[in-house]
Amino acid sequence: MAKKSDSRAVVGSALSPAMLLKMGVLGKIPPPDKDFRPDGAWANTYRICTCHGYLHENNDNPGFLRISRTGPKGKADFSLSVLQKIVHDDAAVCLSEAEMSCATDRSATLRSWKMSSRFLDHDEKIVGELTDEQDGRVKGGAIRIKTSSGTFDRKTGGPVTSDWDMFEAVQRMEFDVSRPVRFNLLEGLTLNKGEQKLRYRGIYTFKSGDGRQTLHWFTQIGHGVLPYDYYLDRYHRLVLVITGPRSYILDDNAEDIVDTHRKEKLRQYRQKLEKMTGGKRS
Amino acid sequence: MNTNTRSDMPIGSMDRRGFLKFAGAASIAIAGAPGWLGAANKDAKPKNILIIATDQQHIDTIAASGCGDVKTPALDRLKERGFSFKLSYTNNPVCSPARAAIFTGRTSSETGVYKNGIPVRTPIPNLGQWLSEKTGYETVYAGKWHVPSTFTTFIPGFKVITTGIGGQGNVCDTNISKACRAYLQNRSKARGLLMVASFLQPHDICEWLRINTEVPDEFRYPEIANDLPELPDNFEYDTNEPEGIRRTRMTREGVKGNWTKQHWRYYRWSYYRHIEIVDAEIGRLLDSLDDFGYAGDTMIILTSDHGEGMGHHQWVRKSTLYDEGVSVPLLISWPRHIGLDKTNSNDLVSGLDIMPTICDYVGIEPPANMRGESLRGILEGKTGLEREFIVSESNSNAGRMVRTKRYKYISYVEDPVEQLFDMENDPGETKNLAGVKRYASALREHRQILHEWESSLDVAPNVPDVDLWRRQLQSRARA
Repeated sequence: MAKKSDSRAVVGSALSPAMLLKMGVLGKIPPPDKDFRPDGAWANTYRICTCHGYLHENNDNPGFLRISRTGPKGKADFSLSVLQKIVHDDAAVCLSEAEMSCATDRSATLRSWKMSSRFLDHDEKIVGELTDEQDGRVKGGAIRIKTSSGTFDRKTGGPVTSDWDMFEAVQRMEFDVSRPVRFNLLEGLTLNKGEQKLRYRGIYTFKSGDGRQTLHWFTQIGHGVLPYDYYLDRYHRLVLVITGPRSYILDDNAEDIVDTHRKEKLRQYRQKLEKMTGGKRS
Repeated sequence: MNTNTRSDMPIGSMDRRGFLKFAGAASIAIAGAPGWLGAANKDAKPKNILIIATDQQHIDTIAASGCGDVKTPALDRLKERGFSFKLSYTNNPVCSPARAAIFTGRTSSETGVYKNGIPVRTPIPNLGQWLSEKTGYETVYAGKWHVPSTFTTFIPGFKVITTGIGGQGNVCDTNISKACRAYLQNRSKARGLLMVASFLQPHDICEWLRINTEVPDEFRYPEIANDLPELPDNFEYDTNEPEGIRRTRMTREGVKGNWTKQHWRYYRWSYYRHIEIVDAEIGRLLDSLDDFGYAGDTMIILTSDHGEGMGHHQWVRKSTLYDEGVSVPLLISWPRHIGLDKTNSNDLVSGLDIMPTICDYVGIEPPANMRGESLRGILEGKTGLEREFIVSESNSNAGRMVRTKRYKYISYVEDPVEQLFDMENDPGETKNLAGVKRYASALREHRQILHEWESSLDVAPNVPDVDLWRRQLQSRARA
């Protein structure tokens, strides 16, 4: 009974590295890599973890986000490749893939991109009628989106940065409280959310295992988002992002963990189907 | 057949002129169609209908309606494109019961969905089943259902776009709107479409509450400390409340956690961000209608299953019969047929009205025993409703609310404390007049309204406390 009661204990205070550790969802943060170069070529895979508000119940890993950076160091534009997989109830999957060209400025301003959004059913077959493919580029204070159905312009009020870009940009930022950056967010390369501000908060220290761990903390606040807290190691590698009940945890095993989650969702779906049909359908 | 109108619900020999004096204004028929209707005619049918459902949206969360603490460009567009109703109420301030009522036009006690996680009683048809059977509309559902499963691949009468993650609108809502956009782009337009896009936000405020129960020693985001919304005028409340309400409040995060005023304000700030999050998804839907050639002939209906406490009466979450729980947005638009940027502050409307309104517009009879009414006359500027009251039920069949133009009456089963509020002079519901001698006749009249309304319902056999209610209503109506 004590265990059950503990599982229903609410989180109580804002998610942080220490809290995620207490909840058992953070695991081990990869050790700092002195060879990591934020403006070089790298690939980071994050496990997307959701919290239902309880310490030890309903904390799931419904997805992962893989971001890869390529392109020259220095002032030239660089490229980001993104793959995000989200597993829904009934084992449906949403896959988002993007290739983005970005400026090497402080907010990794978007230049152009190609993006596809696909949904898979419980059998991992693509649901054709839910597929969307877009090419986009920034033009003045607007973005132009091309799809198979036409070309559409959207006003943005200035240069834009996607949430995926920000995972890159924050790694190139100085650990300097005096230099916040302001930008317009194009969330998921589609939703326009202006007036964002990102600033360095300082050093965040917490107890981890036998010792203390130190991370560098940035916060983003703006229209249409819950605050984003970014945590980086001393070599500027982004290891953790928390926004509201959702966390992105750097984890090389993320894809396997999400696959396990999908299999569990599939099992639940089949069980539900069995119950509904009395076992008459496979 | 609608039963909650003056003509169908005689109240006997009572003198209603006092507290119902404002009802007459709603009944005035306006001769001829107003200029803004343009090419409208009575046989016109919308080619497509899009129902946008949000979850747990307080009515006062739209910038264009005057809320200064939030930016909602998409909701603003919707409001400016059509009608918004100020006196709009859910039939039940809890998810499943409210949704069952919206999609069947029957009260939650009639559908049998008196609390979360119960299916609609057979054979009451839902909107998808009814339109599939009676019309050629393609019926498509994406997102939260919750009658009984929160997200499911199987909803009677609908082709389901399987999307959604229980309790995580922050992850799944964007996929719901993306799937709807793709579907609108890729489908054949040969048939008319009824699409439901049912978002989970701003319901994630429930997760926020569990995560932020405790007041931190230091405010986490000092840069917004000066931007936090003020507390509502009715943050303090009349302590003469029904026992169940007082008890429930004590278990909720705000009061239980002994929150500081700053933490209450931070909670409100966070809730507004949840509103902005779903607003962006609604924006994607509106852009999609524009992009793919639907906007000119699509009726859009936006509503929410129930409201959110937001600190009014120091309440958080849903389930209360105070306005923060039961009052919900209702925006309806259809280019050239429904007036632009009209606000209706006079007619009492309910989630129960959505099904009969849609049936009216697509030219079919609604299912039997609708408890709501078509709003078409109001939307087209021809007539107001003759309705003088609406009734909402509450979770587990424990409470009832009667809202008339002037008053609100609240009663809970087996609770001696009744509530009566003068909504004209005390819209924040802070002074309970139920025990005030001067309002005794208003109290009697509302008891009688409720008694007669309840007597007209076909309550499902699984609903608890039905006999208790009947006895209580009868004895109070006689008192």
